[in-house]
Amino acid sequence: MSSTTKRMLIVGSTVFALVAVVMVAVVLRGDAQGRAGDANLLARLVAAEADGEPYQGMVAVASVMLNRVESAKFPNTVSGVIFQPGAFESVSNGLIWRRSPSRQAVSAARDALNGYDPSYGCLFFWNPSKPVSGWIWSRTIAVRIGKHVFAR
Amino acid sequence: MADEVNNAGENVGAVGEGTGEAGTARSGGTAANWPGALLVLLLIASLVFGYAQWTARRRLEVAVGNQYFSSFFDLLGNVDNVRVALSKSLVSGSPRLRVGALSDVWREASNAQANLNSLPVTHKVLAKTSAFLTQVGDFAFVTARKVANQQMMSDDDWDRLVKMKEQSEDLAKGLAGMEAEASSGRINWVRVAEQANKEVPAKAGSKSTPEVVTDGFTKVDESVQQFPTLIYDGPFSDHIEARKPVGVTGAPIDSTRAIEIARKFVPFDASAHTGKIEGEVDSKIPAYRVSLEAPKKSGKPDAIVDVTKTGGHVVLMNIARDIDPKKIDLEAAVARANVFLSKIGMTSMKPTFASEVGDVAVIPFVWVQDGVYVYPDMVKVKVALDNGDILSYDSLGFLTSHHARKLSKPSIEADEAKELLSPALTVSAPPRLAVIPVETVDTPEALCWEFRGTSFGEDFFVYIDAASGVEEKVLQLIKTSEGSLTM
Repeated sequence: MSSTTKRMLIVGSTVFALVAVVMVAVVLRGDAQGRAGDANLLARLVAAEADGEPYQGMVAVASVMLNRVESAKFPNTVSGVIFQPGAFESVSNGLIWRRSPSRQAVSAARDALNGYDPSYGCLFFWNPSKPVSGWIWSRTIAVRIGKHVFAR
Repeated sequence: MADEVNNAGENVGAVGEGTGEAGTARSGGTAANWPGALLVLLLIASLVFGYAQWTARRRLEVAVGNQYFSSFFDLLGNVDNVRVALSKSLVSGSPRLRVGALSDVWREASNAQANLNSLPVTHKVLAKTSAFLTQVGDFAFVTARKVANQQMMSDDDWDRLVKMKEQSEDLAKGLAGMEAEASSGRINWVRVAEQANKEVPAKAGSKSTPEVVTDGFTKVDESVQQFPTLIYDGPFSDHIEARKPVGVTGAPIDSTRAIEIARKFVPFDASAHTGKIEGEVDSKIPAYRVSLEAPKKSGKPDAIVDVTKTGGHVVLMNIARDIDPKKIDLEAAVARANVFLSKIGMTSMKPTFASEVGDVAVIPFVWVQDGVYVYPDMVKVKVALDNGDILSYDSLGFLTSHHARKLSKPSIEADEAKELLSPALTVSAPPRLAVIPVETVDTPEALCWEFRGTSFGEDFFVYIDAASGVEEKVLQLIKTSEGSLTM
C-alpha cells in the first residue's frame, strides 16, 4: 500500500518537474524572442508603407522607425513610434493589418534592426507626388529612394 | 482613425439590415397594396439601420476618446510628479534620498513622454515638449547613477536641475490650462484627431475644441523652446547628435570617379554593368549613390553603392537577390567575409560575432590596433548562406569614428580588473582590451578590459574601465533561435 503511494508520489513529482521545466523553457524562449515582436511590427509597416518600393527604400522606411525610437522627439519604443496617432497613413486606415508582409519586407526590417541605414539617420519620409502638409518640406532632405524622399 | 470607426460601424449595420429584410418578406405576402407597405417597411428598416450605425459609431468614438482622456490625465499626473520629484532631488541632503528622487524623475518623465506621444495631436506641435521630457528623464538617470557612484554633482548639474524644475513648472501650468477644458468634458478627441490628420492650421480666435487643444499644446511647446540645448553625459544629450564624423578623409572626388570606385568595389566582375548616379546623399557623410545595373541575361545581380564625396570611401553597398536555402555554415561565411575585407583593403579588422538571420549571416568586424579591439570602428558584412556571396557592406560606424588613436597603457592590469567582477559571473575566455563607445561629453570612447563570461546559463560581456576600474557596461548576449557564433 505504502509502496504504491510512494510510486504515485514519485510519478507525480516527476510529471510536475517535467511540466515545470517545459514551462520555464517556454518562458525563456519567449524572453529570447523579445525582439521578434519589433521585427514583425516593422515588417508590417514596411509592407504597408513601402509596397512596390526598391529594397533600399524598404530598409530606409524601417530605419526611419528605428531612428525615431533613438530620437528624443519621438516615442522611445518601436510600437510607440508605429502607433503614434496620425503618424502613418497605413496605421490610421488599418492597412497594416490587411496585408501580410512579403519576404522582402521581413528581410528589410531585419536589415534595419541590424543597423543597416540607407536613410542616414532620417526621421521623416514622404511621397512628394502625394499631398503632404507644407511644414514637412521645411526639413532637410537627405536622400531620395524610389518614390520617397527622406529627411532629417 | 475615422476610417476604422466607419468600418466597424458597417459591420454592426449589416446585421441590422439582415433582420429588416426578413421582416419585409413576411409581411409582403399578405397585404393587398403590398408596394406601399414594402416602402414603409423599407423606410423603417433603413431608419433602424441608420440609428444602429449612429449609436455604434458614438460608442466607438467615446471608447477612443476615453483612451485619449486617460492618456491626457496620466500626462498631467506625470508632469506634476516630475516637478515634485525634481524639487525633492534638490532639497534632499543625503545621496540615498537624492537617488530615489532622481529615479522618480526618470520614471515619471518617460511615462509622461509616452502619454504625450499617444495623444492625437500633430507631431510638429509636440516635438519639443517630447524632447524636453526625454532629456529630463535621461539627465535624471545619468545624475542618479553619478550620485550612486558617490560622485559629486557639479555646479552645472545643479544649475540644470534647477532650470529643469522651473521648466517643468511652466509645463505643468500650461497643461493645467487645458485641464479645465478636459474636466468639463468639452474636448472631443475624435475631432482633434480628424483636425490633426487634415493638418489645417488653427484659426485665430476660434474656440472650437480642436483649436483649444492644438493652441494649448502649441503654447506649451513654445515655452519649452526657450530651454537651452542640453549637453550632459547621456544617450539623448544634444552633443551626441552634433558629433562630426572623423573617419572621412581624403580629397574630393567627382561622380565619374565614384562610379569607377563602385564598379571595382563590388565582389563580382561589374565591368559590363551600367553605372549611373542615382542620387546624392546629403547627410553628415555626403555621398554619391551609385547604381550598378546588370546587363540583361548576364545572371548577375544589381548593386547600390554609396561612395563618399570626400575621399571616395564606400559607406554602404547592397546587392539585392533572392537567396536559396542555407548550404554553408557560419564559419565558412566568416571566412568569405574575411577574404572580401582583405580584397577591399580593410586589413587589421577582426570578426567578433556572427549571427544567422533568415538565410543570411551578419558579421560585424572591428578595427584591432595593437591587440586592442576598437568597437566604434565597426564594419558589417552580410553573407548569403546559400553560396557565400557577399550581399552587403556597411561602414557607417567605421567612417564616423575611425582615426589614428593614441591608446594609453592600462593603469589597471587584467587580474586587478577581474577582482572587480561580480561573483555571479564565471569568466569563460581570457580578458582582452577593448575601446567601447560611451555617452560622455569629454570623450566618446573608453579603454576597457573586456570579460566574457556566463551567469545562470546566460552569456555576458562585462567592461571594466582600464584607467579608473569603473564597471562601464554589462552586455547580455541574446541568442536567437537561429545560430550565432562568438569570436
